Amino acid sequence: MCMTCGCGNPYHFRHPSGAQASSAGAERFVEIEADVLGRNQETAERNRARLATDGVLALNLVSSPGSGKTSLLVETLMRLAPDHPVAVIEGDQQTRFDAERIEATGVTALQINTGKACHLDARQIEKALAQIAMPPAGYLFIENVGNLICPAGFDLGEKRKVVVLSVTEGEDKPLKYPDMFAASDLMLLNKVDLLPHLCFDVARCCDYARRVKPAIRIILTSAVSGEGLDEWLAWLEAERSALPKGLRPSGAPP
Amino acid sequence: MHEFSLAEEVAAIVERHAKAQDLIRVNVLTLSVGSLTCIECEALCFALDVVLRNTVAAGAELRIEPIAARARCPQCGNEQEIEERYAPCLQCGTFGLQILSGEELRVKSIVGIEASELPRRPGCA
Repeated sequence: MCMTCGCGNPYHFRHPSGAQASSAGAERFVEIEADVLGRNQETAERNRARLATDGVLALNLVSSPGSGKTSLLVETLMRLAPDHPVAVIEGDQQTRFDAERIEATGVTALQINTGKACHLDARQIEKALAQIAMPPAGYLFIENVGNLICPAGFDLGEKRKVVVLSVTEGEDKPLKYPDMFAASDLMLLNKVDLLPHLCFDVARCCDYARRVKPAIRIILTSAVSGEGLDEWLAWLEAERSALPKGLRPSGAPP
Repeated sequence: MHEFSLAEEVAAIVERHAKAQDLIRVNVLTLSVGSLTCIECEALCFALDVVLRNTVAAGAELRIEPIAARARCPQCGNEQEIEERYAPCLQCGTFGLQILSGEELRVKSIVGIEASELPRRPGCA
């Protein structure tokens, strides 16, 4: 509904103010047809090209708050970091808590506080990439702000989005927030060690996720019991191996 | 509230085009919004109100042209209008339809006034 006149037209949001209405001179129509997210997309493509040149596998981890992303990441780094170059970019509205948890594993972490914003954008990642010494032929994990809506629309330049859904959240999340699941290539169904205590239907949850994205890969994980972590690490290795080899700097591990 | 980030992008696009076209005022701003975008139009309007306040488009009329979501079935090729992203094919029940439209978010056009078209005060050269 129009906020100025209340005219009831659902697509009319504001009438011109008096000053505009009385302005003299001929009006000129200018066709623009510009994608509102075009600038973010251009920056994301620059990030992607840079990461590809360095042979870095960049992943954008997305989820609602409290899905266990950081705990899962900490467990992943403890297994991955001894043998591979790894860096982490942490996105949160406030605090350095998550970056401190990551740094405790010995991995470089850069914290971005988004303040009023509910998502990371490609420009923040571009700035972050200029600050961290990203080791070639390694992994870059970008832990997005906990939010199942907004980060879906902002490409950061990652190779894959990985959505983390915990079994404490309810199996209908993929249908309630379809954009995020449609944008992701892998779903980590997390905290499965709690399944004996919950009425969570794993098969239904997976069915809902595949309705939104039939090709989505699903791995059941637990940072507490370690279930699924080997499969997740194998997926990571396969994704990194699939990066174009010609772009890798010489001397970097295969 | 990603509408604020989007409004800032809209404002940047409008200002860039207004400057290129030598417009000193923008009276109408038209956006195309696909029905599958996660955008609350009233929130976007509120955000635009704030971010356009000190620009050439301050107080401009905002028009939103909706774009219906259409999708094609990867199995039988049927094309249909959809309400949700996870809608199944109406012909064969397959999930995972290929989205053809409905994800757009574009600044479609502006209507403005050129610098030279403003009435001059008497006595001014």
